[in-house]
Amino acid sequence: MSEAPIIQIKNVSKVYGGSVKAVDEVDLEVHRGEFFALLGPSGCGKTTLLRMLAGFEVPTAGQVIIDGHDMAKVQPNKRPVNMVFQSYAVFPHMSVEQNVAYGLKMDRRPSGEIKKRVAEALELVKLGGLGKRMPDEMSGGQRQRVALARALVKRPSVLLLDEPLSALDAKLREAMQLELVRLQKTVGITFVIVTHDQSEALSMANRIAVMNAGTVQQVAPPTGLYEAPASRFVADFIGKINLIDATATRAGDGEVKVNAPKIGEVTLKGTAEGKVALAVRPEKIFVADKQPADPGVIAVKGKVGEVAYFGSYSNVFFDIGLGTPLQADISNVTSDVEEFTFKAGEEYWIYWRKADTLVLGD
Amino acid sequence: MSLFRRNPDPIGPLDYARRFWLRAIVAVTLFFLYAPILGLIAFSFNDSRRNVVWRGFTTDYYVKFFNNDGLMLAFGNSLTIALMTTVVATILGALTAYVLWRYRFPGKAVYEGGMALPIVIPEICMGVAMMVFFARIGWPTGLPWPINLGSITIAHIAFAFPFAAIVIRARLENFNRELAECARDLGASEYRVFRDIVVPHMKPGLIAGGLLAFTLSLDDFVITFFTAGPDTVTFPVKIYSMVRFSVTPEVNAASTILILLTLVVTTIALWLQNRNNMIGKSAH
Repeated sequence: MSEAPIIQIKNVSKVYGGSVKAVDEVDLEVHRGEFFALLGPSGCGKTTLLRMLAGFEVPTAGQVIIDGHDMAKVQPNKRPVNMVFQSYAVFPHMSVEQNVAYGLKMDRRPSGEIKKRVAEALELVKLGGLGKRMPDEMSGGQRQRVALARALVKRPSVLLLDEPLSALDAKLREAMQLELVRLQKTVGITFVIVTHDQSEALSMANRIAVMNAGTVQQVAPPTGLYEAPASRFVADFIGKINLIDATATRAGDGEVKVNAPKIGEVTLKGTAEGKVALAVRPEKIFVADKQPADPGVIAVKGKVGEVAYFGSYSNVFFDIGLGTPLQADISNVTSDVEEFTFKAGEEYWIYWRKADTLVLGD
Repeated sequence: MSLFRRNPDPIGPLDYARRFWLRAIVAVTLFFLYAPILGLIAFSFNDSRRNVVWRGFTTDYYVKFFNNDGLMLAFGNSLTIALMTTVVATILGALTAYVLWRYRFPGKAVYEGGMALPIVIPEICMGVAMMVFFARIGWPTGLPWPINLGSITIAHIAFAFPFAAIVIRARLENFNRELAECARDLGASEYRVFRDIVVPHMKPGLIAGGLLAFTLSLDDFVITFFTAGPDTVTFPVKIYSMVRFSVTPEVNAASTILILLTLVVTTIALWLQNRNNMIGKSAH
């Protein structure tokens, strides 16, 4: 991107009580108009990072630059960002309209303009006509829309969202994911969302930063994260994956010779050396009765163990003689139950393409 | 469930209200709690100077009460003190509660304990201490009304505001801090956050705290007795001095008025608080 990034986080750390590192020397850039996700397990520092963007936490070290301005001395009420809080934080004693108008009132906008912009914002989040309602007369999903309208009405440079969907039930959450993407495209404002739900991040964001223990592990688009994880942690955190401990030595340009138990020696694309993990996603595994002849695949013999049925696919665990079984997601492509049912103890050849195999360092 | 109707079902393990002994204890408790009060109210309408036998209905003693200048003056004093105490104690209590809730500072625990001290100190000690204190600093006496009520009011505020602070603090405990952060995020200054978001949330606590301060002040006897002068008699002190000679139906009438007043104020406050709770519920 040619334009300067709208958010620059430069070498930022946050230390609590002199020793607890919540955020540890993080460098990040968020581009203008992007839907950016901070993803990680709880306690990884993603919320602290978001709160530093909003101004509720002060970095112990480093620099936060938003829209070209250093935010070090800027109070939360003067920042060009607005936030949607996890609890929505809809003011209970104000009507929907008053809630949405609050930020504009603080900016001392003329009342005619406030009225117009509030109506537009409510229309945008499909709450037109509900302006006179009180928050306790609304559902959780509606209250969230109020929170969204209230933040968007101020036309911030960046909209921050702190686990915005975690309190909604599954159906509503999925609908809201699509809604947020639509909204972001409509208003063109940069969104930064914090979430611990990978499917949320994968389905909504343009780019995702995976965090763990206060550090950024990888920043990539969803497909990049899933298909080319940079480390064992990222591979394990995003989706399901089979990891087999192995050793690797360099074998030419961008290739390594991997030696793994039960699999033997294979030459694969990769750069990690020494102790590595040989990794393959469950949906990329195939099952056959006979040993496949294709030299482009890795094949092992396995015995069926646990089978979990998920409707469109079955998650089948194969014992291949290692400590942990290999799991494969087998699509249930026929409605003939007999044909796709795996019985415990049956032996199969399981195989996957070498090109789908990842070699991951720690 | 009626208390007396026979219920054919066997008494279940959780049917406490249907066990004889529990019913008996409840009945005895209610009797000793309310019989004296009901008796007091009934005898305020008794057509007899002596408070023993019923001689017919009259409202004479209410007329007498309203015509008794000494009693009316004491009544006015009590109301004035109670109102001033309510306003000041509620504001002080609210500020104390807010500071203790919002900020962390060295010696906070000590301050919190020290603030609550007037609640645990025996009232008689507070009374004596106040009396000695006002005498020692040479608090002027013989001032015109209502400035002469100053010392009593100060004493009342001193022991009533911790109660208000504790009630308001409890209300603040379930405040969602994200509401305050959100207002700040939307452009509000610290002061606007307090005014627009925190105070509306505190309102039921302010009402409850204020009511508590009002009733505490209105019916306080011990501390008032020690800080009152001859020209600053309050209602409870006046009733006490009347009872020293004899319990007349006039005293009954005065007490009934006091009960009525407290009931009305309490009802209004509870109603207001209920209404506010309905609005405040969605905050959590």
